[in-house]
Amino acid sequence: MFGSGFDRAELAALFAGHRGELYRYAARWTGDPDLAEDVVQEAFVRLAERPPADRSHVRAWLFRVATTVAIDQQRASRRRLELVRRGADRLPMADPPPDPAVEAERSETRYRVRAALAGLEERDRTVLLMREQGFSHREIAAAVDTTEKSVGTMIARALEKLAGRLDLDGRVDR
Amino acid sequence: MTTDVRVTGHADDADLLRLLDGAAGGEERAAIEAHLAACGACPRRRDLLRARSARLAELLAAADAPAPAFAMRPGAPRRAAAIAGARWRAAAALALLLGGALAVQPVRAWIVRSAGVLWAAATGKASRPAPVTVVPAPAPRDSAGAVAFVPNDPAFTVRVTGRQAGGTLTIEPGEGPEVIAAIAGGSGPAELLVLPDGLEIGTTASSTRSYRVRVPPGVARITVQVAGTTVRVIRAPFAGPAVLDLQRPR
Repeated sequence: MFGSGFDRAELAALFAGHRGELYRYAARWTGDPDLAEDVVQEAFVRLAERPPADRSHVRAWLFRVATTVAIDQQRASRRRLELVRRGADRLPMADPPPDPAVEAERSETRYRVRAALAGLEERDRTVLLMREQGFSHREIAAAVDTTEKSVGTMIARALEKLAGRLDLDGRVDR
Repeated sequence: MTTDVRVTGHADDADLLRLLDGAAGGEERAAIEAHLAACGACPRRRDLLRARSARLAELLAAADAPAPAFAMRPGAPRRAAAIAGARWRAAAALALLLGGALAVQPVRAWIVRSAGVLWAAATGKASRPAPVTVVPAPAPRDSAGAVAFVPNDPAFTVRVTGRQAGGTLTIEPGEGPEVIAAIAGGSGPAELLVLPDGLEIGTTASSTRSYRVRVPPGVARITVQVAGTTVRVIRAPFAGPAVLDLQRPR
C-alpha cells in the first residue's frame, strides 16, 4: 500500500504532530478556513501517497506542499469567482458577491488581517507565515526555492507593507 | 541582497531581521552587532522591527479561524452523495474524529480521497479517482460522534492505542460501502483516526469510552490490535457482533 513511504504509526504520529500548525498556517495563508481544511487534507494524503525521499525534513516538506496546494486551490477558486462575476448581469438570481462590510462586522480583526495578507505577493506571504511558524531562514529558503539572504529581504518587504496596513507601529513611540 | 554594513554604514532591515531571527552567524553577525553598538539609528530600527514582528504575531493569533471541528459546513452529512454511487471506491483515508481532551487542535473529521485501483480486483471494475467526501455529523467536544470511510482494502486493521479503565469495542456487520466508527458512551479522551490501512482509536488509560465499528459487506478480514498486540482476527462472513473488552487487567 504505502510500503515505500511511512508506516501507519509514523503517519499517525506525523498527523497528530503537525495537523494543528499546518491548519493554522493554511488558514492564514488562504484566508479561508474551509479551503485550509482541504489543503491540510491534501498535504497529508500526498504524504501518504508520495512521501518525500528525504525524511529528515518532513515538517518543512508538509508546509511546502501545503503552500503549493493552497496556491493551486486559491487560483482555481479565483477563476470560479471570476466566472460568477462575469455572468452576474445575465444571472439576476445569482448570489451577490460576499460583502466586505458584512465580513468586517463579523470580525474586524480577522478581516483586516486576511485582507492585508492577501495583499502580499504569494512568495512573501509564504515566507512571512513560515517564519511565524518558527522555520529558520534556511528552511524557508529551501521551501520557496531562493537564497537564505533573500528570505531576509522578503520578510523585510512583507513586514514593511503590513506595518502600514495593520498599524503594527501603533504602540511604538516614533 | 542584504547590505554590507561595512560598506554602506548602516544595517538594512534584512540584516536586522537576520540578526533578530538568529539567521546571521559568524562574521556577519559580529559585523552587524558591532555596527549596532556604534550607530544611533539602527538599534531603534531593530527595536521597531522586533515590535512589529511581535504585534504581527498577536494579530495573526487573534485572527485565526476557530478550530474547524466545531465549525463544520452546514448540512454536514455529505455522506448521502458519496453513497449514491453505490460502488466501492478505493480511498486513501486520513480522517479524524475527536472527542474529549485529546482534542487540542482538531482538524474536523475529514476524509478521504480516492487513491486508485484497489477494488478493481474485487469488483471487476476500475475505480475512478473521484474524491469520496464523507463528513460525519458534527462532534461537539464531549459527545459521541462518528467517522465514516471507505476502506482501501478488503482486509483492514482496527488499532486501539492502549488499554482503558473501562469500555468495549464492538465490531458488527453493517450495510453500504463504508466503515462507520463511532464513540459510543463512556467518558474521557478519544480520537478516531482513519489511516490508509484502517482505523486507529486513540485513547488514554483513564478513558471509559466504548466504540462501535460497523463493517460493510465485502470486508474479508479485520485485525484488531490493542496496545500493540493483535487480540482478535475476524474473518468474513461475520455471524454477528464481536465485543471486545478494552479494560486493562486488574
